[in-house]
This record gives sequence, structure tokens and C-alpha cells, in this order.
Amino acid sequence: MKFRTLIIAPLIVVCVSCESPGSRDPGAGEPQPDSASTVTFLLKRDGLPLEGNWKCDPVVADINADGHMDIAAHARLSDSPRVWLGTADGSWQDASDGLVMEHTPCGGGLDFGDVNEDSQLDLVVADHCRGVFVYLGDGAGNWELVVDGLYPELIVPANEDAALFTGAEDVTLADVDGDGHLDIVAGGADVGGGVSVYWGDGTGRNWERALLSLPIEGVVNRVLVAVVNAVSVQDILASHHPGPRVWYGAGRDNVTPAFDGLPSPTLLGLYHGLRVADVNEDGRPDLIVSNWVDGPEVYLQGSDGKWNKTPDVFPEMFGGSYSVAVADLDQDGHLDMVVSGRMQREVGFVYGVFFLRGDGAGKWTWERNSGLPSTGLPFTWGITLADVDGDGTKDIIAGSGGIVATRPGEAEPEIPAGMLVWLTR
Amino acid sequence: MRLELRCIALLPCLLILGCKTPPKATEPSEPLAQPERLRARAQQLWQARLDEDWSTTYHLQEPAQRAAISEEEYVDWHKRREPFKTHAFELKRAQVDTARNLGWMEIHVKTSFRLAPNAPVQELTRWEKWRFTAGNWFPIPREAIDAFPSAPAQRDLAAEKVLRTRFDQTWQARQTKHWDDLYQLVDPRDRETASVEEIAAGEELADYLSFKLRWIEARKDRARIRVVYTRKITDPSLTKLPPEETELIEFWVRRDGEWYLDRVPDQIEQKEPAQ
Repeated sequence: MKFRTLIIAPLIVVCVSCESPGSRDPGAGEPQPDSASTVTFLLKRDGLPLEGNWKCDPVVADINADGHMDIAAHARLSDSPRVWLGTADGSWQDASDGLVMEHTPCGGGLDFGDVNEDSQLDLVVADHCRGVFVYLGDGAGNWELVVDGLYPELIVPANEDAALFTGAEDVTLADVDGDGHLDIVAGGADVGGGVSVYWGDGTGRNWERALLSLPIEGVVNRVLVAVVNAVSVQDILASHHPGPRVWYGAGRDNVTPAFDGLPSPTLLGLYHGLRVADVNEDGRPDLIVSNWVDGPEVYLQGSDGKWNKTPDVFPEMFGGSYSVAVADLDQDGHLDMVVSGRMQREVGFVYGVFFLRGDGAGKWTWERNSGLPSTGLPFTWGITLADVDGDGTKDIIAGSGGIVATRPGEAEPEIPAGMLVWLTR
Repeated sequence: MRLELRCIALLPCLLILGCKTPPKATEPSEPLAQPERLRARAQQLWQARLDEDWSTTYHLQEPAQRAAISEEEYVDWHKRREPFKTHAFELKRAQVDTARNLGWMEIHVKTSFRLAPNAPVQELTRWEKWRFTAGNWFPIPREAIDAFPSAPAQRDLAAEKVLRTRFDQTWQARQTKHWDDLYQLVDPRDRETASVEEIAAGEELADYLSFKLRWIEARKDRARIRVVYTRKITDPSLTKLPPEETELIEFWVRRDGEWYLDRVPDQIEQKEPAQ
């Protein structure tokens, strides 16, 4: 693996970091359908920040039990993390009292969960620079910091710089060991990262790092916990440095790698957004993952547990995707996909958000006229789908505002982009 | 956005000259590119060095060099820090390769090191590399010298013809993925440490779509070949990367009268013979 990476790296450096010569028109040479999209999306984000660098898949939950969904996100280099309460008129109100970090935030994933079992949702935040933070919520939008910068300090070698281990790129909450308490699963943000599981005791304050056979090295861009196969309990999934990875869980006993069929590309850190869903409706969860060169990819789980890559999900996309989410947005009974990324390997405000309609058989069709921007955005880190307007259909919540290189005449994005919400219509 | 490529810093970058093909030089416009013109320019340059006329030497640098520094800064630097003092020079042979816009000027020079005023004056004969660009001859900048071949007078031109055939065979083997054939063209010393499977594993990471020889430089039993090639990564996770053009200097070695691709050049053997 290492040998292959070294061999291929020089070319990749150029290909990934440089603007492509003679960029192609998206879909050039193909018929440009002008048919109406099966769904359309309406940008509506009153009360959400128009700026900021929201480096996460936002998370959504009704933290104050008022029937309106609330949003949390974590940004780089600005006052963060933040929670916004949804209101009856569809706008958002900041509810971030106590969401403090002593240092400059670096962005990262986050999750809601009741970690102290008081029936109020709490917030865990992965910070790219400083590890995992736990904030206990009171159900009214007030937060108490009880864990500041959790990281796997026990795995730091004596002669190694601990800073290579302190950052967390993503985090999720789940009862991994089945003891009734939520546990933390976190992905590292640097070479000394890897996947860490911390057992919770129901207080939200005490977290014991699990001794599982999970990787202790390499950046983990996303972590997930889901039941992937019928025989295991909660399984752990990650967009790990070498590629998307799955470990079957067995409670506290250990984990079993289930990588068969998953890619190990010659470029490290290629995979980012990660989701699990049964996209071909065969009863087995499948993997959906963002490839920063090839765009979104789908790996169908076979009956033998092997992962089988489907044909190109988004053939029109040549600039790579960074995040992905799936849900049945057009309510036809089949899962659809929303992707953030760019059509060509260009620099500037060239990023977009894309709706791909699924047919339940593994085929996806890009709906060009859905109302989503195919370009003009800054770097858009993350996508989450949730019904924020209560109409029964999931909407799009995106963390955007990533810094981009600009060219003369392109100093501003077409849409002032911090936090973005598109309602599904 | 976090594409971890730390390992790249450790690559044997000396072999990769850059993935962008340099712009093609303008066609030499006769008779400007002829040896007489080169000799005249070299005479100007060396006379200015002898006279410590740094303003003149500045204007004899390539346009790109001059664009990077003002005349005042250049002159000031040379007045304060020029390491060498030229005591005398004699221009000898001039050679040009009009097809490649390259020229070589053989010069005998007496020089000393300013920082060691008591050190004896050195006499040496060497070939300087020049190139014809922007309608005139310019000395090739120091940092780019290795990217150009030595003077024809220094090279074994007959060996280069033989080597050309071997070179073509290696690239044809790559294009047709005949790894056994390629393996037989690899230096036997390298074959002692790498199996055909290991070499094939590296080569199969890309499809080689085209190749073009830039130049060959054979000197004694060592050779360098500069090649520009186009390859497409075969990694199934990187299918949308377009083909990329890359320039590379290959090293070759002659053993028992036969040329072999020297994949891992021995650092000691690789040293150039003194000029």
C-alpha cells in the first residue's frame, strides 16, 4: 500500500491541486434536459449566518420539544459551535449560551444525544484542533461544557507530539456496547488519529476509551454507527485515510473488519462524506461515500457481506464530491441523494449542491432544474437531510463557507454562504 | 479537503522534473541561432564578467531571470556578494543543436574565490549550456542546467543511437504492458532487489498513452534520457483524473556493452565525470 501510494503520488499532486486545463462544460456534448425536476428546492435560512466557515455535516433535532427542528453546526475560525432553534414562522434563533471553546474553533462534526440521561438533548462536538467537547443541554438552548478536548492520549507514543493526536474530525453518539448509555465514536484529525470509541456511563462527564481493534493512525473524515449486517450489534463505519471502512461490532468484545470490496486507493484521504442506507431495496444496508476525485460512490452490500461498487453514480461530475446524504425527497418510495462538490476541478466559487433522483435499483439521475446551485458556492463541507419545516419531506441543510482560492472578478460567491437551508417543494 | 500527501515530500523528486511541459521554444530563426552568434554572446558575457560590468551581465540573462529581479538589485548583489573573480577567459569551441534550440560554449577560464583571497587562481575548461529563446542566446540558469544535456563534444553520440533503441523498447513494453520485456531492460543490479511482479505493480498504476524523447546524453557508461510522456491513472477510485503529461529524466547504465534502465541509480556511480 505504501509503495503504491508513493509511486502514484507525484501525478496526483498535480491533478488534485491544480486547476484543470480547458475545463469542460458540465454535460458538454450531452442533451441538456429542460424538463421540470421532480422536486424543487427553495433557499430559506432566515436567522442563520450568511457567513462563516461551517466545516461539518450539520445535525438536526428538536432540542426544546416545540415541534420545530433545530440545527447545530461547528465552524472553523469563528465563534462556534452554534445551535439555532427552529421557530413557527420558519426562521431560526440562536440558542448557543454556553457553547464555548477557549481556543479558536477549527470545525468538525457533531451530534445530538442525551448523554446524561436527563431527557434533554446534549451536544458533542469534534474539533479539528482540540478533540471532542461535550455540552450538556437543558432543553431550552443553554449548554454546559463538561468535557473539554477529549482525545486518545493513551495511544500517544512517549516521543511523539501529542498535537498529532488531539484533533477530532468527526464524532457520533451511539450505544455501541448495548449497556444503555450513549458512547462516543470519534475520528481523528491527524496522522495520530484513527477511530476512538469512548464508553459513556450515563453522566456525560466520564468517558473511558475502549480497547477495540480499531485503527489508531490516520485522518478519519467521517464516522458512523449503524447496524450493517444482521448478525452484529452496532457496527462502526468510517471514511478513514486508506478508504471507506466497516467494522462489525460485538459490543465491548471487539470489532471485526468487513472491508471486502471496499477501495484502497493510491491517494490517501480521498473519501469524505459517508452514509449508510439500503439504496437498492434488498434489505441490506449499503454504503454511500463521497470521493473527492470521482464524485459520489455507492457500494452495495451483497448477501455475503462483500461490498460491490455500482457504476458511476454521477457521471456528469468531474470535480469530486465532499459530502453526501440520502433520503426519499421526491416521495416516490426510493432513496434520493444530495451531494456537495464541484462539476470540474476548478478553483474559486465553483462548488454546488446537487440532487440525484434514485430509482431504487441503483440508478441515479441528476436533476439539473431542481433549484439547487450547481456552482457559485464556496467550499461546502457537509450536507444533512431533515424535515425542518414539518411538511413530511426532508429538506437540505448544508455547512458551507469554506475558503476557496479566487480569481479576479470572482471575489464573492453567488450566494452568501454560511449555513444554508433549502426547503423541499 | 484534507488530501493527505505527506509521503510525497519523501519521494525521489529528483527524477520528476514537473508535470507541466515547458512551453515550446521558438523556432530558431537563421542565422541568429548559429554558433557564431552564440560565440558573440558568450564573448559579451565573459568580457562583462571580466570587467565586473554587472549591468551588462544582467541584460544577458534570460527574460524570465530578469523579470525576477531588478537591474539595481542584481548589480548590487554582484557587487557585494559575487563569489568568483574572473582573471582571464578564452572561448574555445561552440556547438549548437538548432532542432532543440540548445547551444554549448567551451571556455577556458582563470578564476579565484573572492572569500579566499590567498587561494591560488584556478584554471579550468568547461562547457557552458546556452539556449536560444526570445530571439537570442542566453546562458541556461544554474538551477535548470541539469535539465539539459551536455555538449555533443562531451557525449558518446554513437552510443546514444544504440541507447535510443533500448529506450524505445522500454516505453513500448510499458504501453503494451509486457512486463517481462521491460524487466529484461532493467539494470541487472536493480533486478536483484526487485522482482518482475514488483516492478509491474508500480508500472500498472497507470496506462502510458504516449511518450516522446526530448534528448539523450550518453557519457562513458552512464546516460540520461529526458522523456515527456502522457499517462492515465488506472486506480478505480480515480477514474475521472484526466491524462497528465509528465517530464522525467531516466538514468541508464551500460554493463558488458549493453544499456539498461537504471531504476535506482547508484549515487556514487552516478557522479558525472569532471569537466
